[in-house]
Amino acid sequence: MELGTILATAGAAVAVLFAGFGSAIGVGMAGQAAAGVVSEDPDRFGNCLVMQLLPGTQGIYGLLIGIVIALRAGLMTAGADAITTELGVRYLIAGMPIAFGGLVSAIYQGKVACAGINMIAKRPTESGKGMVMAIMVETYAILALLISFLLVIGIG
Amino acid sequence: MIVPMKRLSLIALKADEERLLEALQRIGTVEIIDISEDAGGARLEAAQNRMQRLSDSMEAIKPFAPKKSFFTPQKREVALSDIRADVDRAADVTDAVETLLHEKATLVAEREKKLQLRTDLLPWEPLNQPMSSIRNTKRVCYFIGFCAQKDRQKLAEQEFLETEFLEDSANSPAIVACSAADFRVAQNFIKSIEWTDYAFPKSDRTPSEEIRLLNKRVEEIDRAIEDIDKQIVSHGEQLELLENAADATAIEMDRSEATCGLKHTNSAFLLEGWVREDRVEVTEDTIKGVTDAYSFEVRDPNEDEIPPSVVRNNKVVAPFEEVQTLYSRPDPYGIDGTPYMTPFYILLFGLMLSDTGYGILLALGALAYIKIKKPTGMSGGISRVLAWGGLSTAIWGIFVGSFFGISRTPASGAIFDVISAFFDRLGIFPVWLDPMTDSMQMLALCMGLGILHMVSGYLINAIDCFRRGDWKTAIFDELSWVMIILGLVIGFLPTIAGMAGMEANLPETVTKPAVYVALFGVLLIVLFKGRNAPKFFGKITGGLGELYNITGVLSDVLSYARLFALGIATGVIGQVFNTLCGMLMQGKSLPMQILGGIVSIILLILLHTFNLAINTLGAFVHCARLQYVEFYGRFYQAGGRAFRPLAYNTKHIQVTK
Repeated sequence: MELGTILATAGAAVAVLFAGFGSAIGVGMAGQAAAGVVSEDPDRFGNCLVMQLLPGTQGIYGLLIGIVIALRAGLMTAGADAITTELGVRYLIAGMPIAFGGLVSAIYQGKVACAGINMIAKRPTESGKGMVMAIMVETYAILALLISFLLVIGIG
Repeated sequence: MIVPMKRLSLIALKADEERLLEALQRIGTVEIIDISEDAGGARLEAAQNRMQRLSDSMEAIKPFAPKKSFFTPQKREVALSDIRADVDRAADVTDAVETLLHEKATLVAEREKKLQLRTDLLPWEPLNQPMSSIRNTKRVCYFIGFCAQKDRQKLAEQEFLETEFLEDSANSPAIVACSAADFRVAQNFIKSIEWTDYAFPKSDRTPSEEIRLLNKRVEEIDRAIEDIDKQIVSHGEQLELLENAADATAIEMDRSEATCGLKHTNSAFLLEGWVREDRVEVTEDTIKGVTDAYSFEVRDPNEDEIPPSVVRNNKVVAPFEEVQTLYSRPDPYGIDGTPYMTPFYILLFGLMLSDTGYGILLALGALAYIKIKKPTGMSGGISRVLAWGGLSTAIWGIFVGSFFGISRTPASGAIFDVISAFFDRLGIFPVWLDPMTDSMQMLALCMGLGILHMVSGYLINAIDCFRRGDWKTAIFDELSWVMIILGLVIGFLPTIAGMAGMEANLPETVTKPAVYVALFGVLLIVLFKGRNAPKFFGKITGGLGELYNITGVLSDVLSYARLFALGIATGVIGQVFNTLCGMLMQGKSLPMQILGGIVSIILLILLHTFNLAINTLGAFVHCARLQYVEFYGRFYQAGGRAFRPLAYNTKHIQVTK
């Protein structure tokens, strides 16, 4: 197999892998906090679930970039043309922003979501504010997604 | 717009107090200010007490209430007189449920005790004589307890003691007998080894008999608890009754609390409160309907009195007040941002989802929810916001060419390519641009909308400043920024467009003056921003400091890139789901294709619902963020407090008029 194809595959894998790691950690943390609050007040389940979901988007962004790389580089069709090493490196690098932007932002968004869930426990009417605070962190995952996407599309 | 509030003073006879408060509560227009010193009252306490008991009973029987079908509205509509009648009947139910709960608690405690006793007795089971027979007599003394393994031998070897070990374990149960004369010596010896005393329960039975009896009792208790549980379950269908009573009690509680806030003399009372300016007349008419012995005065609030913040908008805009409330209520003397935010919210929300299929689904879903569940308050507002958002999403979907992730370019195989081909034959789909191929243009569109959004924010504040006669702030702080932003954008449009791979030719007669306008804006800020600083040095640094905010403006513009990124996320993930199902449908043989088709249909429904749900959440919160930070940051004064009139604040029912 051509080195380029291997590198492009690595690019897709890295994007899904690390962004997924981040989301798994973030959603996991928020889930623990949510379970604590719901055990005290089951009516808060809806609000808490929304908060728990917020750090989950990074994983989806990673998946998105992974699939776009796979489609663009023809990894999903057997017997596609081999990719040159240079293009392979470019795919790999293009996957990096969402891989690491997603990883770190999801973990921190998870922490903010935890704090937000604690806020819901104390002041249920303020859940919107907690949501907005968590969303502030996600901004950087979105910027990473944007650049990853533009880079992949730019490879042509 | 913000509704002005009036301060109300009402004096009337004590004899009419209850009827007046009832009437005011019915129309729900007056927020009562607590002006009395005495806290609480017997009636309030009684109501609170009843409320507590009702909620306890409700919690106990809630799991056993009949399941409500999906098609029942959130709150059922009931007349006030009906739920008042329910209060007495509910009292019987709470009494019954409370008795049951109490009995159950007693039984559970007894069960615990018996189980503990049994556990303690188990090691003594081999003892074959009544427990009461082992007690000190004139000649023999007994020690009953557990001996540690290591001291067992030592104990057995003592000749003046007669020891019987009932079991061989780490802590062996043992009965030690000695003659009364040796009691002291024996006691000292036992103290010297590892020994734990045990006392038999008072009983003439052997331990095994006693254990059998305990088991029987535990079984009885279990049966009794089961019986009680069945009775509690049978109360499940009375949940509705209790809910009615709870709401009736809540209404009464609010009124009692209002009474506590009034100032009383022997025969009259004084009520101080807030009333919306547009409801003053209704309020007075209502009072007139009850009595003609009253004094009703309204006046504008004094400077030291902070009125609650109330906004009033038309039917389209009103639901978006909930989005604003999520951030903060407006300052009562500030601007209500809702009418300005609404069109941008609808526009930007649609751009973030931008898929015709999802948009139609979302709009129909939200409308159905409103129709069936009749939600009020926050959920009512948000479902209407989503209905508008869905409509906008559907329209944007046509502009950017996406229908459940299917675009004009074939990408997913099978049936999806047939649909793509159909779109292609239509020739107009997308109407505008395809974000997958025209990424830069799409990005430019998003940031362009962002600039429009932000500039509107500056203008709203500028107009408000002019209205208040503060032309300095309007020109130097607000319009100067509009000049800079618009001047730079227009002045450098060809350059920016070139970077985005587009052509935008503006004649120099337009771009040159635009740059001068921007420079003029800069000049205004440098010269006048620090105008309130006391010293010359402060004046200059104030202006330069403000100019540094250009980085903030720039980052705000870039923040609108999320519109594009989230739009892509929805579309591409939808497309990926289609591709996966497309693969399933293209099986090698016909049976495989049929099977694949069936599985695909189920999968498609699930996957697209998931995609729609997660991206709707994303669009809702990110769109809200763009309003709060990038838009409201430019003009909105937050910090109003909610208006809480004396009204029917019910949880489970909607009082019919």
